[in-house]
Amino acid sequence: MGAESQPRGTEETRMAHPFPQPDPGDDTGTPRWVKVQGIFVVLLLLVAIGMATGLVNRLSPFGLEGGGHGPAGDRVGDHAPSESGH
Amino acid sequence: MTMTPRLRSFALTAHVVFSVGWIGALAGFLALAVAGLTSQDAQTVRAAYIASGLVTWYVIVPLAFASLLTGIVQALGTPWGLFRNYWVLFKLVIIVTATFMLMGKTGAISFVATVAAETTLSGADLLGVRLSILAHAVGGLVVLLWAATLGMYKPRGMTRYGWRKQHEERALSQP
Repeated sequence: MGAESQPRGTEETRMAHPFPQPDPGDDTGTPRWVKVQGIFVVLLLLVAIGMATGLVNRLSPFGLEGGGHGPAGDRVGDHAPSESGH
Repeated sequence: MTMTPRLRSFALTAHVVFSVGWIGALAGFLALAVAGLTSQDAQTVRAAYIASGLVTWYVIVPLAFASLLTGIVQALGTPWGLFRNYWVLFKLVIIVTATFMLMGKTGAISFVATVAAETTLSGADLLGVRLSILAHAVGGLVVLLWAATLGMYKPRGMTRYGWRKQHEERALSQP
């Protein structure tokens, strides 16, 4: 694909070799992109855990429970599904 | 465990096809979710939610598991490994989480599809669930594009496990 022709840039965006190569002089600790994206990965996991435990729905203005209240929601909301199943 | 070049190409092709297919199917699902939420035409709303239920069960869910499975096979069968490089590890966590969240949402999607098939949904009916489905579709698409970008750029960075394995292998190859 076109990614091979991308200009080589900073450490964070440089394309790695098709397969990892030994580079003993490059052991400078955790790269910055790992720290930054690691935060987003943790946030994603927290959202997933919140969803599994129902916390997201309680806090969200448009969660299942939030939408199930009120006249419109009540019309078909009596048999609203659980978040984790059918 | 390393695959032959021919098998590696086949596994990579399968993984790319399933992953890109998942993104495409989710984009289609997003269009249906937007149409179901914004359309003033009752038939369009009904068709959109019935179709979104079918697309979820017969396209998105199979593609999600196929993408996850082929990705794991691809990682384990090549020198990249599953836990050696941060980009592979991040992709694994992202895709597992996305699949988990997708499965958590299938109940709501099926429910709205069933209600849409049986009754006529007006603008405010099940608004919370419909908005939630739309939000998850947007979030899912963002997360899948993130994973695809990681797979495309393969940014450098080895985990501690990766370094240890690499040093062990180097020590074995230099007696």
